[in-house]
Amino acid sequence: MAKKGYIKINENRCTGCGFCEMFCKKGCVEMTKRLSVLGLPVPEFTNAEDCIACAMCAWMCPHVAIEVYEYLEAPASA
Amino acid sequence: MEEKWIAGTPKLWRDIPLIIPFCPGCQHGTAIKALCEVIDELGMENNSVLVVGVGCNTMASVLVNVDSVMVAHGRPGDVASAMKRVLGKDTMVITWQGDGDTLAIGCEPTVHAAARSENITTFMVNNANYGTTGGQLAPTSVMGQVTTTSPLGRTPSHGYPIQGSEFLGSLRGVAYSARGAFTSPANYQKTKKYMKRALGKQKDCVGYSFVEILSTCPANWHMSPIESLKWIEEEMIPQFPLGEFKNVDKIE
Ligand code: SF4
Ligand code: SF4
Repeated sequence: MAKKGYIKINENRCTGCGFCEMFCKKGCVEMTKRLSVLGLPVPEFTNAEDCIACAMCAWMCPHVAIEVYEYLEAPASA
Repeated sequence: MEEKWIAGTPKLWRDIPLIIPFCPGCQHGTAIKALCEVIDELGMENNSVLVVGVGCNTMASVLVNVDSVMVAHGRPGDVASAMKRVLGKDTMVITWQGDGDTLAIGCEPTVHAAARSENITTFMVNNANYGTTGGQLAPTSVMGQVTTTSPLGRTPSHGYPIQGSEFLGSLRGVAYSARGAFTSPANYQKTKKYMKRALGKQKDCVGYSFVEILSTCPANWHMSPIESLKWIEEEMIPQFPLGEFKNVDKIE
């Protein structure tokens, strides 16, 4: 299946709360043990195949650290 | 491949060169994000004024890119009433407060602004304690809640919690009163709908509107962010039920 979308995580804002991992129903986001420059554990977007760009991770992120993008179909005549 | 931005930083979010000053898992950020989105979706970004009180909620004046004023603790109801009367119906006057600011030190300004049916909107972020000062018992702490001033849990000798939405909803001057939470994506959207309806009442000059938002405070509750969300669902929502408590088109 074609990829539907992807997310970008801004590690300068993230505080490692884990809500994105908890609310992504597709299991695309996982918390890691890696620490950001703020010394807080950061999540990683590990499953780009299944992301459907539903934006639930971004809605639930309290630190506005996630941007969600949806891929648009390439114009047929391009 | 071409792509389209779907969600993330709201247009009205002011990108400050600081770390966003909320504890991990604190939903003040979610609430402020929802406020930015609601103002933007209603097209009110050029005619809104934010009046903020004292507490963790005060950061809204920095993070929301509209004109704002921070007033003395608990007084947003008074200042916003005066501002609305001076600025007229075309300016949306919104107060952004915490539970202590609205219902403890600021109980009188809030209740009387509501009783006078001032045409303003109050958003109250309720985290069931005084977060800024270290987690003391607040009028909105739930029964049994352990805080720094009720180490054995809230008992009847501490009094009972004030249910702001039901209480204000029972006043004649109130046009709209609701309570939301951010415990799930569905609740996030529902709470945003309540916030929009409340601002709609102000736009239509019906009267005072009020929305309470339940929010986590993991640092003072001494829980992980995920446990805090569960605690809201299991302990807070049974004592602070979600929903609309008043929604009228005319005050009579
Ligand atoms: S929800 Fe936001 S702040 Fe929390 S871990 Fe995910 S990206 Fe970081
Ligand atoms: S947009 Fe939806 S599917 Fe994609 S990572 Fe976020 S929650 Fe998961």
